Amino acid sequence: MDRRQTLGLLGALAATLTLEARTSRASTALAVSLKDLVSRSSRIAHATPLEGFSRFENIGDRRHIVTYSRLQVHELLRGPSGETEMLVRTLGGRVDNLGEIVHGEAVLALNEACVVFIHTTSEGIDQVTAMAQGHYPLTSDTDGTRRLTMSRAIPHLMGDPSGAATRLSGLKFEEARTLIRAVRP
Amino acid sequence: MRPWLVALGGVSLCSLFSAPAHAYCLTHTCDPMHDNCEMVDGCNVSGKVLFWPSSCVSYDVQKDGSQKLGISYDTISMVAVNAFSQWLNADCGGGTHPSIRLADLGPVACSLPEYNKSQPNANIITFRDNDWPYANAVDTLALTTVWFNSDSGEIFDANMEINSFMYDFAVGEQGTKLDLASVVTHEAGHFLGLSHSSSFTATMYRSYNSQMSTIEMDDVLAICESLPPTRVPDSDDCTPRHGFSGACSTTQTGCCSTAVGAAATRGQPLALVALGLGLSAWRVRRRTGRSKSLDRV
Repeated sequence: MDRRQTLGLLGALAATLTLEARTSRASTALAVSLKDLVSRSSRIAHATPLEGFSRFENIGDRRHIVTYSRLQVHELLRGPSGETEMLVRTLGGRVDNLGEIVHGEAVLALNEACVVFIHTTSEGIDQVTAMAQGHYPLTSDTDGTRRLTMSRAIPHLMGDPSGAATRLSGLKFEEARTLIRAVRP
Repeated sequence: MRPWLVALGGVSLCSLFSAPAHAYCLTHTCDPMHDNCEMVDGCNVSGKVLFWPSSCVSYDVQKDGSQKLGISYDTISMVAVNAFSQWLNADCGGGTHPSIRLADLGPVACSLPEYNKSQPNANIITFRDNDWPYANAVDTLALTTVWFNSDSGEIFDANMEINSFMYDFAVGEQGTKLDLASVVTHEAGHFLGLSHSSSFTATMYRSYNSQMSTIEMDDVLAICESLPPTRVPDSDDCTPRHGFSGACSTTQTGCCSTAVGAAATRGQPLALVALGLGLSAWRVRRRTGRSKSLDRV
C-alpha cells in the first residue's frame, strides 16, 4: 500500500467514525449502493451535455419545469453499444424568467463531461437514476488525470460511507469504469 | 463596523478550526444547463442569491398529516414550528437574528406542490401517503421545491413534500424510524433559500443523521448571510404571491403554455428550438426501437 492509499484509508476511517458518532441515535442507510445504482440503470455513460431546453410537464399530478439535455456519448460503460447521443430529463430548470429548483436533483452542466447513470421510465423518458446520486462530473488534475466528483446537487443522503457517491467520487475515470463494469447487478 | 458582522467574523474564525470556511452554499439563480455558472468550493456562485422579498413568509401544513404513519396535523405543525424556529433564532451576533419571520396560516386542504403564476398560492408542507411521483427519486425522504424569479432571485413559492409513501417517520422516538424533526429542519433550510453544505456537522450537510433537528455553526453563518439582520425587506406582508388559497387550483394558470424551446437563453437558440421540435420524433424513434427489441425477445 503506498502513502496515498494509506492516507486515503485513514481519511475514510476518520470520516466513517465522525459520521458514526453523529448517527448513534438512529441511522437507516438510504444512500444508493453502487450495486443498486448499476442495477437500476439501463445505461451508464461517459458523456457531455451539449445543449438543453426547459419546459413545463406534468410530473405526478402537478406542473413542473423539467429540463431536457442532449448528451454526446463518448463511451457507454454499460448498456447497448452504438448509442452516440442521449436525451435526458431532469427536474427543475428555467422557463422565461421563472425558475424551479428541486433540491437533490441532478444538475447537468453545459459542456461538463460526466459519468451518468440513466434509467428509462415506462413512458420511455431517460432520467438520471437516483437524482444527483447518479451524476458524477469529471474534473482534471493538473497532469490531466480525469476524476469523478460528487454532484454539486447531491441530495440529503443516509448511510453515506457505503454509498455509490462516496465510493465513486475521487476515483480516476479508468478506475471508476473498471469498478462499474465489475458490478454484477 | 456593525456588531453582527464583527460577531460573524469571530464565529467564522472559530469555525476554521472545526469545519471548512464557508462550507455552506446559498442557492443562486444561475442554471448550469443554460449558463456558464462559476463554481467555488462546490457552490454555484453565479447569478443572484435566492431570497424571500418580505420579512414575513407564510407556510401551511396539509390538514391530514400522515394518516398512514399516524402523524397528526398538530404533530407535524409542532415539528414545523420547531424546525423553522431553529433557523429564525439563529444568533447573527449582537442579539440579532435573520431578517425573516414565519407565519403559519393554518391547515390547508391542498396536498400538491404547486405554484400558480396568476392565482393564489400556498407554501405547503405535506406528507405523500399514497404515492411518490418522482420515478427517479425513490431514495428521497423529502423534497423541497422552490420557485423563483430567475432575473432577481426573488422566491415566489416553496413546497415541502415528505415521502411517507415509502418511508417510516417518527417524532421523538429512538429506534429504526426516521427522525421527522431532522428531515424537516434540513428541508426548512432549503425552504428559506439555502443549498447543501460540505461541513460534516451542518444540518445542511448532504448526509442525514438524527441530530439534524438543531442547526450548527455553519448553518448559522449561512442563514445570517442569506437573510442578514440589516436587510431592508420589501414589505412585512405574509401573504403568498397572488394571495392565499388553501385549496389546490383546478387549473394551474399561466404556467403551462410555454412553447418548447422558450427557455433558450444564450448560445444556440435555433438549435434549441430544433432540439425541442425533435423531441417528439426522438421519443417515437426510441419507442419504436424498444418495441422492436421487445418483439425480438
